[in-house]
Amino acid sequence: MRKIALIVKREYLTRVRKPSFIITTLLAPFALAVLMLAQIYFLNYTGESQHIIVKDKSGLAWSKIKNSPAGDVNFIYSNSTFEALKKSYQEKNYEGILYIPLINAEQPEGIIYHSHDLMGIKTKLYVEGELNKALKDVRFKQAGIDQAILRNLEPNISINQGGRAKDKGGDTIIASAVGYIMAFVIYMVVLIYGTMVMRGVSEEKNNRIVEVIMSSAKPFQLMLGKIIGIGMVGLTQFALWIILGFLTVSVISLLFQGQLAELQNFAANPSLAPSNDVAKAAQSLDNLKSINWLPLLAAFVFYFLGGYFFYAAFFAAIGTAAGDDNEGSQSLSYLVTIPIIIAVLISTAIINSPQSSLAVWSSIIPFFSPIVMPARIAFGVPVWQIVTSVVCLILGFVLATWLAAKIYRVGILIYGKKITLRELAKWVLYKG
Amino acid sequence: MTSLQLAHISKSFSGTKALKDINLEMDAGKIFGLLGPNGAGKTTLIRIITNIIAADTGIILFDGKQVDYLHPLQFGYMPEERGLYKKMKVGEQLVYLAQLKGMSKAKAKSLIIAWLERFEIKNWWNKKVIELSKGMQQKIQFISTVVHQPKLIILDEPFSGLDPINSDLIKNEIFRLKENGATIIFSTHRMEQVEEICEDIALINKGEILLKGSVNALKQQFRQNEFELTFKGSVDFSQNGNINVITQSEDYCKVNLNEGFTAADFLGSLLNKQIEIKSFNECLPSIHDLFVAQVGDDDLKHHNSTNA
Repeated sequence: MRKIALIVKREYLTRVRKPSFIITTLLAPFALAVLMLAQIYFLNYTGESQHIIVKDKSGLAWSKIKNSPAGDVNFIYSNSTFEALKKSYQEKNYEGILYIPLINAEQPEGIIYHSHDLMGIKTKLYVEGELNKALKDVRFKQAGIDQAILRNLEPNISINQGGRAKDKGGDTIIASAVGYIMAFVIYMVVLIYGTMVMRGVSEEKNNRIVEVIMSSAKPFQLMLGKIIGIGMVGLTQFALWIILGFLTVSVISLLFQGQLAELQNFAANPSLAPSNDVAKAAQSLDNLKSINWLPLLAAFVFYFLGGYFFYAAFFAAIGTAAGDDNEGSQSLSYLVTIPIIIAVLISTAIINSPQSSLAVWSSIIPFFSPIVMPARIAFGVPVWQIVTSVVCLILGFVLATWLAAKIYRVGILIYGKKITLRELAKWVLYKG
Repeated sequence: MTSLQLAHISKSFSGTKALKDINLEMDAGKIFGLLGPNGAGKTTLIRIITNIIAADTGIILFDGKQVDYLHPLQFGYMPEERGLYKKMKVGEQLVYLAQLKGMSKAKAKSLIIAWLERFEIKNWWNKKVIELSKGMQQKIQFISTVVHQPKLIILDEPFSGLDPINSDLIKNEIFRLKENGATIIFSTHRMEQVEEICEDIALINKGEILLKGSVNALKQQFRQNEFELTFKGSVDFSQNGNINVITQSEDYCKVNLNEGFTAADFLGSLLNKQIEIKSFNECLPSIHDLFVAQVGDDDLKHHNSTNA
């Protein structure tokens, strides 16, 4: 145990002290902040405001199509002739002319947008929407339908979760998002730190330190020490990211406090919200608080560690196959990365059907469970499935480590030979 | 006194016998040469002694007690392929390796400082290994091998890559460690170093011991009855049927004497001649000659037996 502790300490400290570790750990939250700010900026970006002259011969749309609330599309009504406007619109800095000929509401054809530049898609959709609204009003009136009654009749449906899931404070959108984020993070962890284990093993093999170490410590101790040490590097990095990320998010929230407070207000009084979508978003934000985070966090930590240890053992075994050029382990590493990628694909698929048999089975098989189970855990998973999954992952980890240790012990001392998958399998059977 | 005893050590790798029933005894406080061509099984044997791999059969006795394996503190091993963590600092690395052997940090530190001072390289403590030359790295590797004061030291080609000055430095340290009572196993291809350093040797080929014993006894055992003579005057040996001339020049000759015709007989036969003898001595076979002859014979035998 003392030796494993020594090895863990070395593996951990040499990596944590590296400038590259410090830089990536510190910069990642700032990168996140930059991305968040960029997103906010681009979401609110409206472009230059446009001014469009409306020449309405039919009178159907006259004074009915409104400027866009964001102020990017503005309409100016004109009584001049279309021909006169065509000559003068550019001088007056208008983007174009919306020409509505003498049409009736039944056959609204022949509407033209006259300009030098193509209409932007957003503008086009907006103008078309406004025209449709105006014509709809006319048509309703012609059919003798009262607008006020119609508005009162419009339903506004939202399905509320009932049954057992209600007690869990469930919200489908939030559950999907939380699950997917956890699955994705674990996927990254397994891949990044697993590869780090693999490279560490082949590095030790190639600079021949391994023979010196192995006259002092057992191969199993060296392997386990490396896996644990690098795992702790991962945990440290994540802990720092969570803290720094939390700080950056807090700072950004403070900067945009007004908007957030408004959203919270809408959550409490949905009727105040300017639109149904905003009310829903506000509700979702409110639901974030109602989620029971503790079991989610526990599951995340367990599958984070379980998935890492399970896969790191395989990566370590494959690291021993490295020749002097690292080629051997590079080509064999696909054997390990493919199941990880399949697990991510499964977790994307099952977000739409978290209780399907694919979801149940893949969240029990240790090759997929570390990524699939966190993806569906927020939807609520029966206890027997969680227990089976946890037990299988622990067994899988023990088995993988045992198998990897057998391969590692032999492979780490074999030089100058191309190592194939068959060779690795043979080593498992070696004794002594 | 026997320090390390190996009895009936065998090891196979996927059907190929790497070691066949090896029996060896090494005396405490002596330097033991482990010789053999590439692929003879030297590294496998060393890895079994150092518990890197396990033998299929056989036992190891250390200081008279049977051990399943030697405790890491009891031996120091310097593999032929040197290995250090390139990006780790010298001091930190030496402390780590000594701690892995089982030393306390404080004791390891004080002993390492003493060694660095001894080699006058104390200012290397904070240097990364990658910044050092190959010869410098070798010194660090040597310190890591012996810093925990092992009773058994195993050195695989300890002089490769060293300049003559550093070579002598390490050689003197090896002798000093021997004086202090350590048993040293020295594995090499360089036969002139074997004669200079080793007291006992074992010659291994194809997983078997071809020869073992003290260097002097082996030389006597394989003496060819060859003598060399420097003289003044002229002489013709061709009349005497018991004397076979190997080389002869104006004032030097090397001869081989028939069985039963002794050195005294040879000298007696010279007394009647009109020559002045400047020097006379026996040519014992060098370890190099033994190595080439024994391994050559053995390979021929194997070759014939597989062809038969």
